[in-house]
Parts: sequence; structure tokens; C-alpha cells
Amino acid sequence: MIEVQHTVFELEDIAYTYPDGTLALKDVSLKIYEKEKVAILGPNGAGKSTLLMIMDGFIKPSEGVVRFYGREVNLDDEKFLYDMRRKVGLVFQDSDAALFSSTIWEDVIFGPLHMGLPKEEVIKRGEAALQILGIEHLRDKPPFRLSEGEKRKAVIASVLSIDPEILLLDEPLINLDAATQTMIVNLLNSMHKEGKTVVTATHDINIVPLIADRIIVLNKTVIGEGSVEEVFSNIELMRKANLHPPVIAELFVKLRKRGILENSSRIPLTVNETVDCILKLLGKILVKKMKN
Amino acid sequence: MRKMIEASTKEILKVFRDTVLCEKYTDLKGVLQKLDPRVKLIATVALILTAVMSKKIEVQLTILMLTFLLALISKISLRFFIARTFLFIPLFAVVIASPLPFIIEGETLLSFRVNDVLITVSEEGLWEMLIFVLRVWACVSLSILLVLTTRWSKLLHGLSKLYIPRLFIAILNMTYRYIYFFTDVLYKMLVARESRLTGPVGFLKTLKGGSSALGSLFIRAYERGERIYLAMKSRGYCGEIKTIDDLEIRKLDIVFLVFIGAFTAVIFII
Repeated sequence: MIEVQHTVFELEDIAYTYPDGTLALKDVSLKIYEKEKVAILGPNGAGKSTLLMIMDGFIKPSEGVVRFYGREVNLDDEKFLYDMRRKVGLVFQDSDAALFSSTIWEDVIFGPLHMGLPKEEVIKRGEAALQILGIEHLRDKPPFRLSEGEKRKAVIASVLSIDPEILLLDEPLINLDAATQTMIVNLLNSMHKEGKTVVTATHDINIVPLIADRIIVLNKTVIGEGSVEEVFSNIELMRKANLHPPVIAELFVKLRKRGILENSSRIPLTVNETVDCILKLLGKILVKKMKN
Repeated sequence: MRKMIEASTKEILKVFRDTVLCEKYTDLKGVLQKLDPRVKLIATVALILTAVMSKKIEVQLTILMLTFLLALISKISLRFFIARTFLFIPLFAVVIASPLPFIIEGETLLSFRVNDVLITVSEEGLWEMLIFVLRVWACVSLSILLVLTTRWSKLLHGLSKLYIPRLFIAILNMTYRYIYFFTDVLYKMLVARESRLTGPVGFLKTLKGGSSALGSLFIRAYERGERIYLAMKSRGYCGEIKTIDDLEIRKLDIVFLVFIGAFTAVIFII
């Protein structure tokens, strides 16, 4: 049975210039499909955050059209925007702006409360969100008493309590320690397994293979897209985007150029894949030596 | 000048942390901590009104003693409480009220001449000054006691249940949430500036630097306000702040309210 993949977001020739004249985006056209994991990868100032804000109907593009499930996003249609935001959860990069209540509990239940859900459902969702992120002990704490990692978890919890179908995340792992990063990566992957669409805007190439199947490379305009392997193997594309390719990918692309790795072999993207690949290569070298 | 600004900013930040933002007493197992915030708000307002409307020194002293007693039974250190309530505002009240002994007519306690001008200190004037200072101290003590024994979120929730406009409460909430943040930003800006000074700076340059820092802070606050609004909208905010109703009036609340009612009634009669 062929599964039809619905287009969640469709952006057509989007352009945006800031009020001070700075060009943010130009000729951006892309599609985000249902239930996929996508990374919008680009350097600082590429327009990633602006793109997410345009997608969620907060910024009106200077040119172009944004469609959400085929319907044009009109910033004057408040009802449409409220309905859209019940389905789309935006995780802001700025944790201090996203946590605006006097306690974490109030921030977490803010979304379901303003969706008009009954009190019992609001409390249930709030407690579930705190439990998923493991931050029940922070419930009564004011945001200014939290560490950066705790704030980031609280922000994610406050979006998860809405139970959105689509997650838009703006640099979700920035300034976090390794353990917290791992925890959030695992959470995003489990959200994806549950059927959510996960779109992550980041400049950190090392986390992309962990949280995305497809990459859209952005540097004020879309300069490339494809699977993670396709994009990371394209060293020229990475350089054009002012990004340093992942060390692992760069190493194996060079091995491929020297003929040590076959052209048809897949470029490993994670440490585990690298270990497997090296073991296979060593195996082949040993077999070759034994034959000789 | 620079050191004075830095020291003042640090001290203001410390005062905020120790009084307004300190919630270390709200979790203690004292009497006031167990009360419903609405009851505490009503009691505080009733006692403040009593202090304001009365001209008797006995009333001010009684209310002040009551606040000390309530602080004690709420497990707040009396030394800390007296120091926190008397220092600054009531002391400032002494300065404000200091002309009263010289301008209110009455029995002369002291008189002297300055350049052929006769200056008298009257007994009634001194009593008025004392009553004024005690009234200010009592009102400040009641307010600080309320804040020390009630979580800010509960206080705002209580206010919303007492039909205070939600917009006002939302503004108070935002102020509380971000005042710590912005005083911290201001402090870091001052430290960053200090770290790049390689020699003495004149008063005018310091003033100019300070005013541009404040301007920068204003712009940051404005931009952050915009981001906060977007964050609220992204989670369903459409103009009205909603809250969850989890407050309950219990026997202790009723007993306390009756006690305060009786107390204020007795004070008025006496």
C-alpha cells in the first residue's frame, strides 16, 4: 500500500528584508512533509530563525507564499492562525522569552489552558509534559532560578503540553551539556516515532545526523537539499554554506577519492557507523592480503 | 562615581534577591504560609487601612507588634524582619517627617535662635512625626510579611480571584518575572564596561556611558517584550490571560480572618 505523504508546509519564493534593510531571505522555496525529520542547516545569520517565524505565521514575508496543509497562511486570519498553532509547536531559541510565567508549572500549562481545555485535561497534560522531560522537581520554581539546560527542558515541556503534530525547533541543543543534548535528541526521535513532524533549525552539523533524515541547506536562500548522506558528501555545498563538513564525512569522502573506499559505499555519519565501516574496510584489506 | 553606580546596582540587585524575589520563607511550615493568599491579601489591606486611618500611636504600635508576632509564628527571623522592614523606607520617612516638630504648633519642648529667627520644637509635632514613622513602618512590615510568606504566583492568583483586572496582574507578573533578568543584564553591562576601562574616567563620560547603557537596556527590554509576546501567541494567547483555579479556603483561613476582623474592630473601638 502506498502511503501518501501530505505536505505540511510549502514555501514558494519567500523573501524577507528586515526593517533596517538587512536581507534575511531571498527566493526560498521548500516543502516539509508530514511525519518527516528535517534539519534546516545554515550558518549564523542564514535566516533560519526568520524562516521558522514565517512558517508559524509570525512574520509576513516581503514576497512569496506560505501554505499550511495547502491553505495559504494569512496573518490577518486570526482564527486560522490559532487553529494552526494548535498543531504547530514552536520551540524558541531564547529560553528567557519562552518562559514568561512566574513558575515552570504555569508556563507548562499555559498552552493547554489557552486552548480552552477542561481543568483536569490541563493538569494531566502539564504533569505528563513535566514527567517526559524529567523536570517535575522544577514545577514550582521561577524560571530565573533555572540553569540553561533546565530552562531548555522547560521550554520543550511547555510546547509538548499542547501536543502539537508538528514541532519547529530553533537551535534546541545550543549551550547544553552532552547529557542534556542526548536526552533531548532521544526525546525528539521518540516524538518522531509517534508520528510527529520534527523540523530543527541549527548550525550544529554534528547533531544533524541524529535528528534528521533530510537536510535543507540555507544561507539566505536554499542552496541545497537532500538526504543527510547526500548533503554531507557534498563538501563543496558545505563550503558554499560556510559550514565545516562533519569530520567523519570529510574523512571518508577523502578516502573515497583515494580509492580506499568504494564510490558505492555509504558515507558513515555517526561514530557507530564509522566503526562498522572501518571494521569492514579492515576485513577487506585482510582478505586481500591473505589472497596475495 | 563609577564605583558608586556599581555599588548601588549591586545593592539594589541584592535587595531584590533578598526581599522581592526571595522565596526561601514561603516554603517554611509557618502559620501564614498555610493561609490562602486571598485571606492574607484581605487581612493585609484591612490592617493597612486601619493603620492609615488611625491617628493614635497605640494603634500603630499594636499593629507593628502584631506583624512581629506573625513573623515569629511564620518562622521568619525577627532580627532579619526588623532590619528589612525598618531600614530604608521608615528611615526615609523619618527624613520626610522631620520638619513636623518645627511646623506643628503646640507645647514647646525646645527653642533656639538662628540668625535672629526663633525655631521651636513642639511636643505635638514630635508625636505626629513618631506616629507618621510608626504608621509607615507598620504598613511596610505588613507588605513585606505578605511577600515573604506567599509565593509570588499564588499572590497574583489570589489577586485575580479578588477581581483585580487580569491585565494589571499580567503586567505585575511580567514585571516580577523580568526585573531580576534585566537588573542582571544591567549589572553585566556595567561589569563589561568596567573590564574594558584602562584608566580613570571623568564624571561626564561616566554619565554618558551610563545613559547609553540605559538606552541599550531599554531597547533590549523592548525587543525581549516582542519575543515574549510571540512566545505567548505561539501557545494560544489571544488577549486574555487564563489561570487555573486551585485555591481553597480552609478552617485556618476562616479563623484567621475572624481574628483580624475582631482585631481591627477592637482597635477602632478603643
